[in-house]
Amino acid sequence: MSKSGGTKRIVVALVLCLLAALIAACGGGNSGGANPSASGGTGPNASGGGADTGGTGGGSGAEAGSGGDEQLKGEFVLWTWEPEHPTALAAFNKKYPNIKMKRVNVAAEDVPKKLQTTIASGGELPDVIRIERGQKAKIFDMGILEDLSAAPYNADTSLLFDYDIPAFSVDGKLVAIPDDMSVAGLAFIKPLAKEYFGTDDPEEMEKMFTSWDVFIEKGKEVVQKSGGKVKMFPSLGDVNDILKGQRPEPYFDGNKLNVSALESVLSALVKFRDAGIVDKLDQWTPAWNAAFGGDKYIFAECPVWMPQYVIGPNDKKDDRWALMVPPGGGIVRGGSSHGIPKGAKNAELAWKWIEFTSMSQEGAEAQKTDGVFTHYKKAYEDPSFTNWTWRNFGSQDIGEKFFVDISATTKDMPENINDTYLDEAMSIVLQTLAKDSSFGLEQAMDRIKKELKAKAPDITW
Amino acid sequence: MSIMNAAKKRWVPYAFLSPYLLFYLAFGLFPIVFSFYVSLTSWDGIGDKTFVGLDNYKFLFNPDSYFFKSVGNTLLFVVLTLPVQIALGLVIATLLYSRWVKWRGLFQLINFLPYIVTPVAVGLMFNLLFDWQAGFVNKVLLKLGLVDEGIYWLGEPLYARMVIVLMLIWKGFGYTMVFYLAGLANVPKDLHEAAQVDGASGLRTFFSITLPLLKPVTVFIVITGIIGGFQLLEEPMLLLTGSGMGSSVAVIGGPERCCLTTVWNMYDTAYGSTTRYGLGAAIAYGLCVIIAVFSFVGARFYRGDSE
Repeated sequence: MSKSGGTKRIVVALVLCLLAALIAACGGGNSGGANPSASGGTGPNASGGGADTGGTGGGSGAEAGSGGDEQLKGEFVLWTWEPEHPTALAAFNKKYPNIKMKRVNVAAEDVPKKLQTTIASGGELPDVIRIERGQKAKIFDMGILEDLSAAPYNADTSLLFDYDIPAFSVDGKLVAIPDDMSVAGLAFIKPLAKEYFGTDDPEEMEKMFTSWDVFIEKGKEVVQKSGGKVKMFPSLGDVNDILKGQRPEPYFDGNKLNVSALESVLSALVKFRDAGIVDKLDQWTPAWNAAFGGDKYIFAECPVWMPQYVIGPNDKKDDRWALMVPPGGGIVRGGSSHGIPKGAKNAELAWKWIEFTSMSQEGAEAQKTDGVFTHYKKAYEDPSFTNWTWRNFGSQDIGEKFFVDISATTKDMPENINDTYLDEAMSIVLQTLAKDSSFGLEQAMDRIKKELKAKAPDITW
Repeated sequence: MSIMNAAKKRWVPYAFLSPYLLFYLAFGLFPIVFSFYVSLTSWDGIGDKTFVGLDNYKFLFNPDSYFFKSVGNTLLFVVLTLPVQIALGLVIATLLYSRWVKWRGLFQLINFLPYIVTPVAVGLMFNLLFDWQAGFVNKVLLKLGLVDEGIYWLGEPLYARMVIVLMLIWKGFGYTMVFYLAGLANVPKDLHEAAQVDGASGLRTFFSITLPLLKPVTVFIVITGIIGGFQLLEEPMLLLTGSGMGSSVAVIGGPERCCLTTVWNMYDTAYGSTTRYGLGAAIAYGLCVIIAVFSFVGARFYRGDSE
C-alpha cells in the first residue's frame, strides 16, 4: 500500500512539474513588462539598467556632442529590418566602446504585430524599435513609446527640421526621432521634358510648373502632341502621394475626419484622371517599376531613397533624369524613425545610439558613408555635406536639391491610427478611379465612408 | 485492498494520458476558451479589455461588416473549385489506373507536385503570370492577337475571381487524384471482370461500378475540401497583395473586396489594417460555426453512406 502511495506521489509530482513547465513557458519572461502603462515613466535614470549599464544616469541632448563615455556599459536590443550601418556603428563604438548593440531582425510591416503579441504575452520589449512611416501611426497609437522630449532624454528638437516635430509627436510629446531623410521632389526624364516643354533645366521647369492646374494643362498638351503615347505619371497612386503630402491640414482631428481636406485631394485626383494625363498602373508592380526605364512617363515622385532603390535598378541609362521642386512644394514620403518603448531595460544605452546616429554631426557624417542622410539639420548648412550626385541624374547635385530647395518647401502632417484606415480605403478608391471614368468625387466619398464605417465605427465626419 | 485497486485503476490511465491532456489544456482548450472571452470584449491587444457582451457578434450582421461578404466569397470559391478538382482528379486517376498509361509513377508525381508547392509561392507565381502589363498570360494573348490591350486580371473583380479559381484548381486536383487512386485500388477487380463478361462498355462500367464504389472517397474529399476551402488565406492574399512593398498599401481582399475570404477578413481585422482582437475572435467563432455546420452535414452524409 505504501509502495502504491509512493508511486502515486511520484506520478502526481511529475504531472505537477509538467504543468508548471507549461505555465512557465506560456508566461513569458518579463513580469514587469506586460503592461507598459504600469511601467510608464521608466527611462535611463529610472530603469536601473540591469547589471551592466553602469548606472550613470541619462544624458541630455547637450551632452551627446561631448567626448566618449566609457562608463556606459551594456547591451541594448534594436528591432530593425535594416542591414547594419557599419560606419555608423564603428563611429558609435569609438565614442561608447562599452555599449553593444544587438540587432533583432523584424520586417517593417511586422513591427506593430510583434509589439502587440510581445505585450499581450508579457514578453520582453526591445530597448529601441525602428518604425517605418507606413506603420508609424499604428505604433504611435499604441501609446507604448517614451516621451523623448522629456527627462531623462531631453531631446533637443531644434536639432531636427521644423516639419519633423509635429510628424513625430503625439499629444505634444516627441515619441520618435526620424532617422533617414525622406523628403520627396519631382523627378523628370530630361529628353522627354526637352521635347515637350522645350527645356530640361530643373529651375526653368520649376518656373514653368507654378501650380497643379498648370501641370494638368501642360499634361493635356503632351498627351495630344504624342498621340496619347506619353503621359505625365504612370499611376494615380503617385499623384495621390504628392497631393496627400501637400494637404494643408491633417486628415483627422482625433476621430473626426477633415472632410474638406479629403475632398480637395479627391477632386484634384478626379481632375488628373479626367485630363487623361495619368496611366492606370498600380504602384510597385513590375510594370510600374519597368516604367522608370522607359520613355512613356515624364514625371515620377522622387523621395530621397528613390534614386538608389527604384530609379537606379530600373533604369540602366545614365544622366537621363533631373530633380525639381514639385508645384506646391516638397512632401515627406516613407522614411523611418526610432522610438524607445516604455519599460525598456536599457533605454539609456538605446537613447545614446539614437542621439548619436540621428542628432549629431559625427553620426550624420558616419551615416552618410553608409548611404543614409539623417535629419540632423545643422549638417546641411555645409554645402560639401549635402553634395550628392547619382548616375541617373548626371552631374546634378541632387543632394542640394533635396536637402536645401525641396526641404525648405516641405511640410508634414501629424497622422493617427485613422489615417491608416483611410490609406487602405484610398487604395480601393484609387484603383476604381483609375479604371472607371464614371466614378467621381461623390462616389469616392461614399466609398470611403462605407470603408471607414466597417474599419473604425468611431470615426465621425 | 479492492478499493485501493479500484482507485489505482481510475487514476493510472489519466496519469499516462496526462502529458497529452496537459498540453491540450495549455495549447488547445485554453486558447479556445480565451478567444471566446476575447470575442466578448473590445481589445486592441495592449490596453485593457472592455467587456462588450455580444456586440462583436452583432457587428457581424451589420451591413457595414464584411463578414457575410467574405463568407459568400469563400463559398463561391469552394463551389467553383471543388467540383472541378474532383472531376479532374477522378479523370486523371482513372486514366493513370488504366492499362493504357505508361510511366504511371512519373505522371502521378507530376500531377501531385502543384499540391506540395507552398501557398506563398503559388500566390506570387500567379501574381507574376497575371500581372496586367508584365504578366506572361497577357503577353501571350497580345502576341496571338486575341486582345488589343492587356486584360486587367487582378484589378477587375470577375477576372480576379477567375484567376483565384484557376489557381486553386491547379493546386488542388493532384490531391483529389491521389485519393481516387487509392480508392480505385480498393475496387474489386472481379466486379469489372463480371461486367466485362456481361458485355458492359468501359463507360458503363465506370458509371455503374467504379463511381458508386468511390462514393466514400468522394464524400471525404468534399468534406475536407469544404473545411480546407473555408480556411483559404495565403494564396489569394499573396496573389493580390504580393507585389506591394514597404509602406505601400495594397487593397485588402482585392478589387471591390471580391476575393476577401473569411480567414483573410479575420486576419486583417485582428492583425492587419485594424487591431480589433475582439471582432477578430468573433469572426473566428462565426467561421467555426459555419465549418461545424458543414462538417455535421457532411458527417451525416458519410454515416448515411456507410450504413
